[in-house]
Amino acid sequence: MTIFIYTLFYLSVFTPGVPIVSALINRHSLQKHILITILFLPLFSLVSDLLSWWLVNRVGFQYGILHIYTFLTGTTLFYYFYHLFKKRKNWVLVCQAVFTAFCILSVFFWGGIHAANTVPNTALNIFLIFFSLSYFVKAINELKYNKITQDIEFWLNFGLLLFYGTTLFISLFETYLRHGNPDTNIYTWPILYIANILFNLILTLGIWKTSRIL
Amino acid sequence: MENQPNIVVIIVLGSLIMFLLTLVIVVFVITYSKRMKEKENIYQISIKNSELELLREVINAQDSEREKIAASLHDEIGPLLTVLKLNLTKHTRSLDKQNLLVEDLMEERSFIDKIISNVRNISHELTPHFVKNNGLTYALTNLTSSISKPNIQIFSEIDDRVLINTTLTVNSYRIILELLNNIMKPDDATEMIISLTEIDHFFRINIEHDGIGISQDDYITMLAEQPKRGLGLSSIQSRLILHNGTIVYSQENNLSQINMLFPLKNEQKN
Repeated sequence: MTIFIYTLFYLSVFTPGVPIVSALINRHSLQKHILITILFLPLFSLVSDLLSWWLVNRVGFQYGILHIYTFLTGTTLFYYFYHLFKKRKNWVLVCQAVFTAFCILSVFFWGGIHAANTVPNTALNIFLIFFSLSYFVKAINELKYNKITQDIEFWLNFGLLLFYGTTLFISLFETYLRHGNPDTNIYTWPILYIANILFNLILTLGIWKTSRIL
Repeated sequence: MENQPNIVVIIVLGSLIMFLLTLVIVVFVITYSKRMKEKENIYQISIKNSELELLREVINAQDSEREKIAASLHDEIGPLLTVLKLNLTKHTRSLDKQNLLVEDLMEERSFIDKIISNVRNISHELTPHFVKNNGLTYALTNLTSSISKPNIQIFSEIDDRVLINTTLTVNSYRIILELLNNIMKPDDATEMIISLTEIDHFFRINIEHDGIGISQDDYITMLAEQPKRGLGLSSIQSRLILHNGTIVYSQENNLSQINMLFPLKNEQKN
Protein backbone atom coordinates (compact mmCIF):
# COMPACT_ATOMS: atom_id res chain seq x y z
CA MET A 1 0.00 0.00 0.00
CA THR A 2 2.79 2.38 0.97
CA ILE A 3 4.64 1.69 -2.25
CA PHE A 4 1.47 2.33 -4.20
CA ILE A 5 0.93 5.68 -2.47
CA TYR A 6 4.57 6.67 -2.91
CA THR A 7 4.39 5.77 -6.57
CA LEU A 8 1.31 7.95 -6.94
CA PHE A 9 3.02 10.73 -5.01
CA TYR A 10 6.11 10.70 -7.24
CA LEU A 11 4.00 10.50 -10.37
CA SER A 12 1.93 13.42 -9.09
CA VAL A 13 5.05 15.48 -8.40
CA PHE A 14 6.69 14.83 -11.75
CA THR A 15 3.80 14.51 -14.26
CA PRO A 16 3.46 18.34 -14.50
CA GLY A 17 6.69 18.15 -16.49
CA VAL A 18 4.86 16.35 -19.31
CA PRO A 19 2.41 19.17 -20.22
CA ILE A 20 5.20 21.72 -19.79
CA VAL A 21 7.37 19.93 -22.36
CA SER A 22 4.37 19.33 -24.67
CA ALA A 23 3.34 22.99 -24.47
CA LEU A 24 6.88 24.13 -25.25
CA ILE A 25 7.08 21.82 -28.28
CA ASN A 26 3.67 22.97 -29.58
CA ARG A 27 3.97 26.59 -28.42
CA HIS A 28 3.29 27.93 -31.94
CA SER A 29 -0.10 26.25 -32.20
CA LEU A 30 -1.36 27.65 -28.88
CA GLN A 31 -2.83 31.04 -28.17
CA LYS A 32 -0.78 33.25 -25.86
CA HIS A 33 -3.10 33.15 -22.83
CA ILE A 34 -3.56 29.38 -23.15
CA LEU A 35 0.19 28.82 -23.46
CA ILE A 36 0.81 30.93 -20.36
CA THR A 37 -1.84 29.00 -18.41
CA ILE A 38 -0.64 25.59 -19.56
CA LEU A 39 2.99 26.43 -18.79
CA PHE A 40 2.51 28.13 -15.46
CA LEU A 41 -0.08 25.81 -13.85
CA PRO A 42 2.08 22.66 -13.98
CA LEU A 43 5.18 24.75 -13.29
CA PHE A 44 3.74 26.12 -10.02
CA SER A 45 2.66 22.60 -9.10
CA LEU A 46 6.07 21.12 -9.89
CA VAL A 47 8.05 23.82 -8.09
CA SER A 48 5.84 23.90 -4.98
CA ASP A 49 5.85 20.11 -4.68
CA LEU A 50 9.60 19.88 -5.06
CA LEU A 51 10.12 22.76 -2.62
CA SER A 52 7.73 21.25 -0.07
CA TRP A 53 9.39 17.87 -0.43
CA TRP A 54 12.82 19.41 0.10
CA LEU A 55 11.68 21.45 3.10
CA VAL A 56 9.77 18.58 4.76
CA ASN A 57 13.00 16.65 5.12
CA ARG A 58 14.73 19.64 6.74
CA VAL A 59 12.34 21.91 8.64
CA GLY A 60 8.95 20.20 8.22
CA PHE A 61 5.97 21.10 6.07
CA GLN A 62 5.72 24.82 5.31
CA TYR A 63 2.19 26.16 4.83
CA GLY A 64 3.61 29.35 3.36
CA ILE A 65 4.39 27.49 0.14
CA LEU A 66 0.77 26.31 0.02
CA HIS A 67 -0.48 29.90 0.38
CA ILE A 68 1.78 31.16 -2.40
CA TYR A 69 0.97 28.20 -4.64
CA THR A 70 -2.80 28.68 -4.23
CA PHE A 71 -2.56 32.41 -4.92
CA LEU A 72 -0.37 32.02 -8.03
CA THR A 73 -2.46 29.15 -9.42
CA GLY A 74 -5.69 31.05 -8.79
CA THR A 75 -4.34 34.22 -10.39
CA THR A 76 -3.18 32.30 -13.48
CA LEU A 77 -6.55 30.63 -13.85
CA PHE A 78 -8.47 33.86 -13.39
CA TYR A 79 -6.23 35.37 -16.08
CA TYR A 80 -7.18 32.45 -18.36
CA PHE A 81 -10.92 32.75 -17.71
CA TYR A 82 -10.70 36.54 -18.12
CA HIS A 83 -9.65 35.86 -21.73
CA LEU A 84 -12.11 32.99 -22.22
CA PHE A 85 -15.25 34.80 -21.04
CA LYS A 86 -14.86 37.97 -23.05
CA LYS A 87 -18.45 39.03 -22.36
CA ARG A 88 -18.22 38.28 -18.62
CA LYS A 89 -14.84 39.83 -17.88
CA ASN A 90 -16.17 41.86 -14.96
CA TRP A 91 -17.50 38.75 -13.22
CA VAL A 92 -14.10 37.11 -13.48
CA LEU A 93 -12.49 40.24 -12.03
CA VAL A 94 -14.96 40.27 -9.13
CA CYS A 95 -14.22 36.59 -8.41
CA GLN A 96 -10.49 37.30 -8.62
CA ALA A 97 -10.91 40.18 -6.14
CA VAL A 98 -12.87 37.98 -3.71
CA PHE A 99 -10.28 35.22 -4.02
CA THR A 100 -7.39 37.66 -3.42
CA ALA A 101 -9.20 39.05 -0.38
CA PHE A 102 -9.59 35.51 0.98
CA CYS A 103 -5.88 34.86 0.39
CA ILE A 104 -4.89 38.03 2.27
CA LEU A 105 -7.33 37.36 5.10
CA SER A 106 -6.11 33.79 5.32
CA VAL A 107 -2.47 34.87 5.63
CA PHE A 108 -3.06 37.65 8.19
CA PHE A 109 -6.17 36.64 10.13
CA TRP A 110 -7.60 33.18 9.48
CA GLY A 111 -4.97 30.88 10.92
CA GLY A 112 -2.03 32.81 9.51
CA ILE A 113 0.82 31.81 7.26
CA HIS A 114 1.57 28.71 9.36
CA ALA A 115 -1.90 27.19 8.98
CA ALA A 116 -3.73 25.55 6.06
CA ASN A 117 -5.40 28.03 3.69
CA THR A 118 -8.73 26.19 3.67
CA VAL A 119 -10.94 29.17 2.78
CA PRO A 120 -9.09 30.51 -0.30
CA ASN A 121 -8.40 26.97 -1.47
CA THR A 122 -12.05 25.92 -1.20
CA ALA A 123 -13.16 29.22 -2.74
CA LEU A 124 -10.81 28.61 -5.64
CA ASN A 125 -12.24 25.11 -6.10
CA ILE A 126 -15.80 26.48 -6.17
CA PHE A 127 -14.93 29.34 -8.55
CA LEU A 128 -13.16 26.99 -10.95
CA ILE A 129 -15.93 24.38 -10.89
CA PHE A 130 -18.36 27.19 -11.70
CA PHE A 131 -16.15 28.61 -14.48
CA SER A 132 -15.53 25.20 -16.07
CA LEU A 133 -19.23 24.40 -16.01
CA SER A 134 -19.92 27.81 -17.56
CA TYR A 135 -17.48 26.95 -20.33
CA PHE A 136 -19.34 23.68 -21.05
CA VAL A 137 -22.68 25.49 -21.12
CA LYS A 138 -21.13 28.00 -23.51
CA ALA A 139 -19.73 25.16 -25.62
CA ILE A 140 -23.16 23.56 -25.90
CA ASN A 141 -24.82 26.84 -26.84
CA GLU A 142 -22.29 27.84 -29.46
CA LEU A 143 -22.09 25.98 -32.74
CA LYS A 144 -18.47 26.96 -33.23
CA TYR A 145 -17.52 24.22 -30.78
CA ASN A 146 -18.53 21.58 -33.27
CA LYS A 147 -15.23 19.77 -33.15
CA ILE A 148 -15.05 20.20 -29.42
CA THR A 149 -12.42 17.53 -28.79
CA GLN A 150 -10.03 19.35 -31.12
CA ASP A 151 -10.25 22.46 -28.98
CA ILE A 152 -7.60 22.92 -26.28
CA GLU A 153 -10.11 24.93 -24.20
CA PHE A 154 -12.22 21.78 -23.89
CA TRP A 155 -9.34 19.70 -22.52
CA LEU A 156 -8.16 22.43 -20.20
CA ASN A 157 -11.65 22.88 -18.74
CA PHE A 158 -12.15 19.13 -18.56
CA GLY A 159 -8.91 18.85 -16.57
CA LEU A 160 -9.81 21.78 -14.34
CA LEU A 161 -13.30 20.47 -13.61
CA LEU A 162 -11.92 17.03 -12.87
CA PHE A 163 -9.11 18.28 -10.63
CA TYR A 164 -10.95 21.01 -8.73
CA GLY A 165 -14.18 18.99 -8.54
CA THR A 166 -12.48 15.89 -7.20
CA THR A 167 -10.31 17.78 -4.73
CA LEU A 168 -13.10 20.03 -3.44
CA PHE A 169 -13.63 17.92 -0.31
CA ILE A 170 -9.91 17.62 0.30
CA SER A 171 -9.60 21.42 0.21
CA LEU A 172 -12.60 21.75 2.50
CA PHE A 173 -11.25 19.37 5.14
CA GLU A 174 -7.54 20.07 4.65
CA THR A 175 -7.02 21.26 8.24
CA TYR A 176 -8.47 17.99 9.60
CA LEU A 177 -6.34 15.96 7.22
CA ARG A 178 -3.07 17.71 8.08
CA HIS A 179 -3.60 17.39 11.81
CA GLY A 180 -5.38 14.04 11.78
CA ASN A 181 -4.32 10.44 11.96
CA PRO A 182 -1.76 9.71 9.23
CA ASP A 183 -3.10 6.17 8.91
CA THR A 184 -6.47 7.35 7.67
CA ASN A 185 -4.84 9.82 5.30
CA ILE A 186 -3.70 6.99 3.07
CA TYR A 187 -7.26 6.94 1.75
CA THR A 188 -7.49 10.68 1.06
CA TRP A 189 -4.15 12.01 -0.25
CA PRO A 190 -4.05 9.51 -3.14
CA ILE A 191 -7.23 11.18 -4.41
CA LEU A 192 -5.26 14.42 -4.76
CA TYR A 193 -2.36 12.59 -6.44
CA ILE A 194 -4.62 10.76 -8.89
CA ALA A 195 -6.53 13.98 -9.71
CA ASN A 196 -3.25 15.80 -10.32
CA ILE A 197 -1.89 13.01 -12.55
CA LEU A 198 -5.13 12.90 -14.55
CA PHE A 199 -5.18 16.69 -14.88
CA ASN A 200 -1.66 16.69 -16.32
CA LEU A 201 -2.43 13.80 -18.66
CA ILE A 202 -5.64 15.43 -19.90
CA LEU A 203 -3.76 18.68 -20.47
CA THR A 204 -1.06 16.84 -22.43
CA LEU A 205 -3.64 14.95 -24.47
CA GLY A 206 -5.36 18.25 -25.25
CA ILE A 207 -2.12 19.90 -26.39
CA TRP A 208 -1.26 17.06 -28.76
CA LYS A 209 -4.83 16.67 -30.04
CA THR A 210 -5.04 20.38 -30.77
CA SER A 211 -1.73 20.42 -32.59
CA ARG A 212 -2.85 17.27 -34.51
CA ILE A 213 0.50 15.58 -34.02
CA LEU A 214 -0.87 12.68 -32.00
CA MET B 1 -10.25 13.63 16.02
CA GLU B 2 -12.92 11.02 16.69
CA ASN B 3 -14.79 12.33 13.70
CA GLN B 4 -11.89 11.75 11.37
CA PRO B 5 -13.03 8.39 9.93
CA ASN B 6 -16.37 10.00 9.09
CA ILE B 7 -14.59 12.92 7.43
CA VAL B 8 -12.45 10.49 5.44
CA VAL B 9 -15.58 8.72 4.25
CA ILE B 10 -17.12 12.08 3.29
CA ILE B 11 -13.96 13.08 1.43
CA VAL B 12 -13.64 9.76 -0.41
CA LEU B 13 -17.30 9.53 -1.33
CA GLY B 14 -17.57 13.23 -2.17
CA SER B 15 -14.50 13.10 -4.36
CA LEU B 16 -15.74 9.97 -6.09
CA ILE B 17 -19.13 11.54 -6.78
CA MET B 18 -17.51 14.73 -8.12
CA PHE B 19 -15.17 12.67 -10.27
CA LEU B 20 -18.05 10.67 -11.74
CA LEU B 21 -20.11 13.84 -12.24
CA THR B 22 -17.25 15.40 -14.18
CA LEU B 23 -17.05 12.35 -16.44
CA VAL B 24 -20.82 12.39 -16.99
CA ILE B 25 -20.75 16.11 -17.89
CA VAL B 26 -17.84 15.70 -20.29
CA VAL B 27 -19.36 12.63 -21.97
CA PHE B 28 -22.65 14.50 -22.31
CA VAL B 29 -20.93 17.53 -23.87
CA ILE B 30 -19.01 15.36 -26.36
CA THR B 31 -22.13 13.38 -27.32
CA TYR B 32 -24.18 16.55 -27.63
CA SER B 33 -21.59 18.29 -29.80
CA LYS B 34 -21.34 15.21 -32.03
CA ARG B 35 -25.11 15.19 -32.43
CA MET B 36 -25.02 18.90 -33.27
CA LYS B 37 -22.29 18.22 -35.80
CA GLU B 38 -24.40 15.52 -37.44
CA LYS B 39 -27.36 17.90 -37.55
CA GLU B 40 -25.19 20.56 -39.14
CA ASN B 41 -23.95 18.06 -41.70
CA ILE B 42 -27.54 17.24 -42.61
CA TYR B 43 -28.25 20.96 -42.85
CA GLN B 44 -25.22 21.45 -45.11
CA ILE B 45 -26.39 18.61 -47.35
CA SER B 46 -29.86 20.15 -47.60
CA ILE B 47 -28.29 23.51 -48.52
CA LYS B 48 -26.22 21.77 -51.16
CA ASN B 49 -29.35 20.11 -52.51
CA SER B 50 -31.14 23.45 -52.62
CA GLU B 51 -28.20 24.92 -54.50
CA LEU B 52 -28.35 22.04 -56.96
CA GLU B 53 -32.07 22.61 -57.37
CA LEU B 54 -31.44 26.29 -57.99
CA LEU B 55 -28.74 25.47 -60.51
CA ARG B 56 -31.13 23.10 -62.26
CA GLU B 57 -33.71 25.90 -62.38
CA VAL B 58 -31.14 28.27 -63.87
CA ILE B 59 -30.13 25.72 -66.49
CA ASN B 60 -33.77 25.06 -67.32
CA ALA B 61 -34.39 28.78 -67.61
CA GLN B 62 -31.38 29.10 -69.94
CA ASP B 63 -32.63 26.21 -72.06
CA SER B 64 -36.05 27.77 -72.17
CA GLU B 65 -34.52 31.10 -73.26
CA ARG B 66 -32.60 29.31 -76.01
CA GLU B 67 -35.77 27.60 -77.14
CA LYS B 68 -37.47 30.98 -77.21
CA ILE B 69 -34.68 32.43 -79.36
CA ALA B 70 -34.84 29.46 -81.70
CA ALA B 71 -38.63 29.73 -81.91
CA SER B 72 -38.46 33.49 -82.54
CA LEU B 73 -35.88 33.05 -85.29
CA HIS B 74 -37.75 30.14 -86.78
CA ASP B 75 -41.24 31.65 -86.62
CA GLU B 76 -40.57 35.31 -87.24
CA ILE B 77 -37.41 35.69 -89.27
CA GLY B 78 -37.41 32.34 -91.09
CA PRO B 79 -40.70 32.77 -93.04
CA LEU B 80 -39.87 36.35 -93.95
CA LEU B 81 -36.48 35.34 -95.33
CA THR B 82 -38.10 32.44 -97.24
CA VAL B 83 -40.66 34.79 -98.77
CA LEU B 84 -37.90 37.26 -99.58
CA LYS B 85 -35.87 34.52 -101.23
CA LEU B 86 -38.86 33.32 -103.29
CA ASN B 87 -39.67 36.88 -104.32
CA LEU B 88 -36.08 37.55 -105.31
CA THR B 89 -36.12 34.36 -107.41
CA LYS B 90 -39.34 35.54 -109.01
CA HIS B 91 -37.82 38.99 -109.66
CA THR B 92 -34.70 37.44 -111.17
CA ARG B 93 -36.99 35.72 -113.66
CA SER B 94 -38.87 39.00 -114.24
CA LEU B 95 -35.52 40.73 -114.75
CA ASP B 96 -34.65 38.09 -117.37
CA LYS B 97 -37.94 38.80 -119.10
CA GLN B 98 -37.34 42.52 -118.57
CA ASN B 99 -40.75 43.10 -116.97
CA LEU B 100 -39.60 43.91 -113.36
CA LEU B 101 -41.62 46.67 -111.71
CA VAL B 102 -40.45 49.14 -109.08
CA GLU B 103 -43.51 48.20 -106.93
CA ASP B 104 -42.21 44.64 -106.75
CA LEU B 105 -38.91 45.83 -105.33
CA MET B 106 -40.68 48.16 -102.89
CA GLU B 107 -42.52 45.11 -101.57
CA GLU B 108 -39.19 43.41 -100.85
CA ARG B 109 -37.95 46.52 -99.16
CA SER B 110 -40.87 46.40 -96.74
CA PHE B 111 -40.03 42.74 -96.13
CA ILE B 112 -36.48 43.71 -95.27
CA ASP B 113 -37.81 46.42 -92.93
CA LYS B 114 -39.94 43.81 -91.20
CA ILE B 115 -36.97 41.52 -90.81
CA ILE B 116 -34.85 44.34 -89.39
CA SER B 117 -37.62 45.23 -86.98
CA ASN B 118 -38.04 41.65 -85.85
CA VAL B 119 -34.32 41.16 -85.45
CA ARG B 120 -34.19 44.32 -83.36
CA ASN B 121 -37.06 43.13 -81.18
CA ILE B 122 -35.45 39.76 -80.61
CA SER B 123 -32.14 41.42 -79.95
CA HIS B 124 -33.69 43.78 -77.39
CA GLU B 125 -35.31 40.87 -75.66
CA LEU B 126 -32.02 39.05 -75.42
CA THR B 127 -29.36 41.60 -74.76
CA PRO B 128 -29.27 43.06 -71.28
CA HIS B 129 -26.42 45.39 -72.23
CA PHE B 130 -28.89 47.44 -74.23
CA VAL B 131 -30.94 47.94 -71.08
CA LYS B 132 -27.82 48.43 -68.97
CA ASN B 133 -26.40 51.08 -71.26
CA ASN B 134 -29.55 53.05 -71.92
CA GLY B 135 -31.60 52.63 -68.75
CA LEU B 136 -35.01 51.18 -68.11
CA THR B 137 -37.14 54.04 -69.41
CA TYR B 138 -35.29 54.24 -72.72
CA ALA B 139 -35.33 50.45 -73.18
CA LEU B 140 -39.07 50.30 -72.48
CA THR B 141 -39.80 53.20 -74.82
CA ASN B 142 -37.74 51.53 -77.52
CA LEU B 143 -39.46 48.20 -76.96
CA THR B 144 -42.99 49.54 -76.97
CA SER B 145 -42.46 51.74 -80.05
CA SER B 146 -42.62 48.63 -82.21
CA ILE B 147 -45.84 47.38 -80.59
CA SER B 148 -48.97 48.68 -82.30
CA LYS B 149 -51.52 47.04 -80.08
CA PRO B 150 -52.07 47.88 -77.28
CA ASN B 151 -51.14 51.50 -77.35
CA ILE B 152 -48.52 51.68 -74.65
CA GLN B 153 -47.61 54.89 -72.87
CA ILE B 154 -44.66 55.15 -70.55
CA PHE B 155 -44.48 57.67 -67.73
CA SER B 156 -41.30 57.96 -65.79
CA GLU B 157 -40.93 60.38 -62.91
CA ILE B 158 -37.47 59.18 -62.10
CA ASP B 159 -34.00 59.11 -63.55
CA ASP B 160 -33.74 55.35 -63.35
CA ARG B 161 -30.09 55.37 -64.44
CA VAL B 162 -29.25 57.17 -61.19
CA LEU B 163 -31.89 55.71 -58.90
CA ILE B 164 -31.56 51.97 -59.50
CA ASN B 165 -28.57 49.75 -60.08
CA THR B 166 -27.98 47.75 -63.24
CA THR B 167 -29.11 44.41 -61.75
CA LEU B 168 -32.46 45.85 -60.75
CA THR B 169 -32.71 47.63 -64.12
CA VAL B 170 -32.20 44.39 -66.05
CA ASN B 171 -34.43 42.34 -63.78
CA SER B 172 -37.28 44.85 -63.76
CA TYR B 173 -36.99 45.03 -67.58
CA ARG B 174 -37.25 41.23 -67.75
CA ILE B 175 -40.24 41.23 -65.40
CA ILE B 176 -42.03 43.90 -67.46
CA LEU B 177 -41.28 41.94 -70.67
CA GLU B 178 -42.79 38.82 -69.11
CA LEU B 179 -45.83 40.74 -67.90
CA LEU B 180 -46.31 42.40 -71.31
CA ASN B 181 -46.13 39.00 -72.90
CA ASN B 182 -48.83 37.72 -70.53
CA ILE B 183 -51.05 40.77 -71.02
CA MET B 184 -50.78 40.72 -74.81
CA LYS B 185 -51.48 37.01 -75.19
CA PRO B 186 -55.31 37.31 -75.14
CA ASP B 187 -54.97 40.22 -77.62
CA ASP B 188 -57.76 42.25 -76.02
CA ALA B 189 -55.86 45.08 -74.38
CA THR B 190 -56.00 48.33 -76.31
CA GLU B 191 -54.47 50.78 -73.85
CA MET B 192 -51.64 50.34 -71.41
CA ILE B 193 -49.77 52.71 -69.14
CA ILE B 194 -46.46 51.85 -67.56
CA SER B 195 -45.32 54.25 -64.87
CA LEU B 196 -42.03 54.29 -63.03
CA THR B 197 -41.92 56.24 -59.77
CA GLU B 198 -40.16 56.50 -56.44
CA ILE B 199 -42.24 56.36 -53.27
CA ASP B 200 -40.76 56.44 -49.77
CA HIS B 201 -37.46 54.83 -50.74
CA PHE B 202 -39.21 52.28 -52.93
CA PHE B 203 -38.92 51.98 -56.67
CA ARG B 204 -42.46 51.47 -57.96
CA ILE B 205 -43.52 50.02 -61.30
CA ASN B 206 -47.19 50.29 -62.10
CA ILE B 207 -48.77 48.68 -65.17
CA GLU B 208 -52.37 49.59 -65.93
CA HIS B 209 -54.26 48.11 -68.87
CA ASP B 210 -57.78 47.48 -70.12
CA GLY B 211 -57.25 43.84 -71.08
CA ILE B 212 -58.03 40.67 -69.19
CA GLY B 213 -56.23 40.86 -65.90
CA ILE B 214 -55.96 38.72 -62.84
CA SER B 215 -56.62 39.32 -59.15
CA GLN B 216 -54.15 38.78 -56.31
CA ASP B 217 -55.99 35.56 -55.41
CA ASP B 218 -55.56 34.28 -58.97
CA TYR B 219 -51.88 35.11 -58.74
CA ILE B 220 -51.50 33.21 -55.45
CA THR B 221 -53.30 30.21 -56.96
CA MET B 222 -51.02 30.36 -59.99
CA LEU B 223 -47.97 30.50 -57.70
CA ALA B 224 -49.17 27.35 -55.95
CA GLU B 225 -49.51 25.64 -59.31
CA GLN B 226 -46.20 27.09 -60.50
CA PRO B 227 -44.65 23.92 -61.95
CA LYS B 228 -47.62 23.53 -64.30
CA ARG B 229 -47.56 27.21 -65.28
CA GLY B 230 -44.24 27.28 -67.04
CA LEU B 231 -41.22 29.38 -66.39
CA GLY B 232 -42.68 32.87 -66.86
CA LEU B 233 -44.13 33.11 -63.41
CA SER B 234 -41.13 31.48 -61.75
CA SER B 235 -38.86 33.93 -63.58
CA ILE B 236 -40.90 36.89 -62.27
CA GLN B 237 -41.02 35.44 -58.77
CA SER B 238 -37.31 34.68 -58.53
CA ARG B 239 -36.40 38.16 -59.77
CA LEU B 240 -38.74 39.70 -57.20
CA ILE B 241 -37.20 37.61 -54.44
CA LEU B 242 -33.72 38.62 -55.57
CA HIS B 243 -34.54 42.30 -54.92
CA ASN B 244 -36.94 41.82 -51.98
CA GLY B 245 -39.65 43.08 -54.28
CA THR B 246 -43.42 42.66 -53.99
CA ILE B 247 -46.12 42.38 -56.63
CA VAL B 248 -49.83 43.12 -56.26
CA TYR B 249 -52.46 42.41 -58.91
CA SER B 250 -55.77 44.26 -58.76
CA GLN B 251 -58.85 44.87 -60.92
CA GLU B 252 -61.18 47.85 -60.80
CA ASN B 253 -63.65 49.40 -63.28
CA ASN B 254 -62.57 47.22 -66.21
CA LEU B 255 -58.99 48.22 -65.56
CA SER B 256 -56.34 45.85 -64.36
CA GLN B 257 -53.30 46.94 -62.42
CA ILE B 258 -50.02 45.37 -61.52
CA ASN B 259 -48.04 47.14 -58.82
CA MET B 260 -44.47 46.26 -58.02
CA LEU B 261 -42.33 47.73 -55.26
CA PHE B 262 -38.59 47.33 -54.79
CA PRO B 263 -36.81 48.69 -51.72
CA LEU B 264 -34.12 51.15 -52.73
CA LYS B 265 -32.02 50.97 -49.56
CA ASN B 266 -29.55 48.45 -50.97
CA GLU B 267 -30.22 49.04 -54.62
CA GLN B 268 -29.04 52.59 -55.12
CA LYS B 269 -25.92 53.11 -57.09
CA ASN B 270 -22.78 54.10 -55.24
